[in-house]
Amino acid sequence: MKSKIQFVLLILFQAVAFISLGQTEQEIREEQIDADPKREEIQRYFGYEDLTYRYLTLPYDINQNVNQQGKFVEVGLHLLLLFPLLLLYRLRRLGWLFYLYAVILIAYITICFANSNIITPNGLSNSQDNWTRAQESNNLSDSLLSSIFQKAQSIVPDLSEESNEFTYLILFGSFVLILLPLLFKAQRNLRNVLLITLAGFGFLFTMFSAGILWYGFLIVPLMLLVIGYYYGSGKSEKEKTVFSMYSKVLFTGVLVFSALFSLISRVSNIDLTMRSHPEHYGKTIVNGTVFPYSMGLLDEEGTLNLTSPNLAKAINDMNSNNGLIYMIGTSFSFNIKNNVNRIFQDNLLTTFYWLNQQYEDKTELIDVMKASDMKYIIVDLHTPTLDNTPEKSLTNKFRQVLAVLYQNPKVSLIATDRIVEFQDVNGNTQEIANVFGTKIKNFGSYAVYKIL
Amino acid sequence: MKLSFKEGFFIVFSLFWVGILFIDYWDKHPIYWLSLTHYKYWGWTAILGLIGVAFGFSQTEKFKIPKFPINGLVVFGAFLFTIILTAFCFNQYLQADLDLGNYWHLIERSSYTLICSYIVLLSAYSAGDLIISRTTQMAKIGGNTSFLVKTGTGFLVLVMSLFAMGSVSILTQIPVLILLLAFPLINYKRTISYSKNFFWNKFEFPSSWNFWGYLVAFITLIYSSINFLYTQSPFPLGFDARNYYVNIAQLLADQGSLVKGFQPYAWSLMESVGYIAFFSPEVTMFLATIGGFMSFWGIYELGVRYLKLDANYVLLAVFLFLSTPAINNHWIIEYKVDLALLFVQISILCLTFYWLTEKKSDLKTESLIADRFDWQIVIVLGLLMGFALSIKVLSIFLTFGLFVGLWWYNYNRIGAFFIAFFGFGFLIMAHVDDISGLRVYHIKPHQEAIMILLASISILLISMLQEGNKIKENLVATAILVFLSILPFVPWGMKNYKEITGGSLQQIVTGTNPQLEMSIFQFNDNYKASKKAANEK
Repeated sequence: MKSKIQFVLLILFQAVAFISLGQTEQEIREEQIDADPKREEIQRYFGYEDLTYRYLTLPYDINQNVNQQGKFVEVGLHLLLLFPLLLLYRLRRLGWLFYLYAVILIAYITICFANSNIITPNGLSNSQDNWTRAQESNNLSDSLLSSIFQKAQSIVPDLSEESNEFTYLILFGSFVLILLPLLFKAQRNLRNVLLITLAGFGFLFTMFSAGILWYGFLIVPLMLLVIGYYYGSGKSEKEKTVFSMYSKVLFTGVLVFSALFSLISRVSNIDLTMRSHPEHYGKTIVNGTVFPYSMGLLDEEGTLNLTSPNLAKAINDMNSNNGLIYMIGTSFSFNIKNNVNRIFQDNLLTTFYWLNQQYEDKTELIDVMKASDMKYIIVDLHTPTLDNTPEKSLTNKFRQVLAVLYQNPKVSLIATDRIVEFQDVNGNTQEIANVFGTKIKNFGSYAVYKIL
Repeated sequence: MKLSFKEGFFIVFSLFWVGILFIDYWDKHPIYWLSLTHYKYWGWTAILGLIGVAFGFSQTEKFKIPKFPINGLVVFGAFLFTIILTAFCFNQYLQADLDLGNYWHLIERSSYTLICSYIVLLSAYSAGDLIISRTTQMAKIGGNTSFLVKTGTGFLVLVMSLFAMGSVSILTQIPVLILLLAFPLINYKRTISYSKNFFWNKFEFPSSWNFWGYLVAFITLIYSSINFLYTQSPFPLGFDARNYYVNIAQLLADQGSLVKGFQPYAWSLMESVGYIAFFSPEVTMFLATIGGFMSFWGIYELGVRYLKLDANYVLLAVFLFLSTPAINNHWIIEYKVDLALLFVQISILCLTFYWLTEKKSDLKTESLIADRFDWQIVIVLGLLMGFALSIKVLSIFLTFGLFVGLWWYNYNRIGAFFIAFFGFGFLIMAHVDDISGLRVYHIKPHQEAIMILLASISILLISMLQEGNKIKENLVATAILVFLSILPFVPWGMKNYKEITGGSLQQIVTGTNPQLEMSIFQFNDNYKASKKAANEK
């Protein structure tokens, strides 16, 4: 009788929920998704594929760095290699669940491959459109992977466009399916408390972090401990079979390999921005620009010029008054006095985009800034590298910035670390520090303009 | 012995899984092959490798190598030795004109950084010890859990004190130094005992450590030493550290008072002590990493004491954690607050597990919060949860997972589903998905949240019918923990409320944008006004 009442209550509430879903007005959002700065800045970690796949493929994307590359987002290869295998290892004593889980893993990795990327030998990330070119390349892994990825893409169906009304329910439902055996079948002990905590933490991380790894650092040590526990408790101490030896080599070997390569990678500390000078690869176990300071050879100003050539004089200029600063990227806030009250940050060019739409005359646009007490413009020349959007919205906006600054009589360049060639009136080629020239010799990272 | 079909299947499947993902990973990370083919520090590796192997053999008394006594001073010396050796080897490539004076400068500055940071750590530990040791039950915690909980609680006390000082604009050197020295001096007996234990007394390593465990521990020390060199800089190198986290610490020092706006910046407030008390950006940056070091103890404690794992495996896990590139980046480039957050979160887990293992009563028949011991634990646990939230609001992830785990452990399986449904629905209703900007892609998040919340009510009713007393008990315990976790957050909420006029609840929680804000309308209005003024002239 009790269970019947419970069942009726459950149905009643769900019916109310469904009715309310149908009767409530459609919340169709008409935000400008394409120009949304969060899309450019935050979601570069999350990807731009179909919404449901974006969430589902997150563990793979984070581990393999599909969406965003760089050491600051790498977790190493061992977690994705071992964690899914761990459950398969434990399920080998159960019946059909073992094979079902293997099928689920294959299906999962197929979805991930269908939404993956190839990194070409020159370090750039290709979009899926370039897989054919990757297949024809001499690089064995590129051609193998692109064939696999293309095949996967042909199998995996398109689920939806960028928006839908069921992703939260699908993903939460999947979480509930994972929780069900844990909460009802798992033995009541501290290890399973940890596993449940990790499942809950990992679920919210998947839902709300947009793939930003440092929002969930706790996952890394907890997964390592869970791997250690569940592998260790799944074997018998007395076993010395082929299988037990294989599994020991597999689990221990992957972890030791990963540890070894993490150590080698840290000591070599390869910086791919130095690819034009590969002879310097492997030397920078410490940072060469702050090393002189740590050894007492340079002071703070000298170190600043070493990290960003010519910057110190611009910083001194900016610190000599309280003029406001229009900042597009860079991390120079730190060196500017009273920076919270003086710096207007427009890293993703949202404001600049709208101002440029309204004031097409570039000298007038600078006058608009000057009327709001802006005295300096700081530009990060690497701004387009943040742009992983398919439509390249940030790159287009940045081009407009350069167009405004080019030969604008209302601004004066006071510092940059870009070196360009230009021809003087006598036709001689010279190298100078400037943003614009006939040829870029050293790309540089920043430019500081003063508004006249 | 013959392989069963399933074992054979597992071997084939695992070879496929590892193989394909390894090729994929290797393809996407050309840096690893380059790291190996361009490895240059062979001499450095040989010297430190020999020392490490000798250390491992001596501690395990292999090959009749006598055991070398290790204490804090020896570790300090090894740390400095590695730094100097690394600097020397690096300079073979940089070719800077260095003499003994430069190396001595490095030793001086490094020692200053480490000693000042130790004073801060000691202050936190003393403050926490004063509180925890007064509570008779908590005083028995022992081991690394005691160290973590005391230090975590102590940091909370320090941050709250600094907050109060910042509110009345006395964040200057003398008051801050007085604060830092007050707790160790009041607790002087334990300060002397603790410092003596740390620096002078021989470390008693666990008997379960084998040669590989000692070697991994040594490598962890070396790795930490080379990371330390990055803190010896006048400013951080990372974008977010310069624009945000360490910038806040610098602004606090410049102003001598709390900085307007920003999300709660508990740990940046702690870091600012480096600038304010010691006039040292190096100390500030090292304090950003100190949570990571504390996490080593936390991970070891979780793995060995509570999960009963092999200590040598846990040491490998600690090293893998440190060497994870994304985490290592927080040690050398981006001095954010996530390492400190991690330390507090691991402390929360250790304390929770201590509580569950030490509860003498049978939870099946007794209440979760039954006696004074339980109350003491819950109060500290709630405050640590609140401290974590004031470091970063997204610590809510752990709160969610831990509540589901605790409810389940307390014989409330259906109730655990309720808390999972309710928590997730509530977070969507609270627009947590707006932080990442993902909400815009969900067409009906509000309705989806309502559906999940209504389902949670159904589950709650079922649980009340089937698990009667336990659900009530868990609801009360959860309410108490939530209330306690809000307490460390309240000062930040009040600060934000004072700074905002007519702000939303979200703004009170997350604070305002502290940077100069100007809309395009303001730009337009200012321009029109300037044109009008120019015409009038």
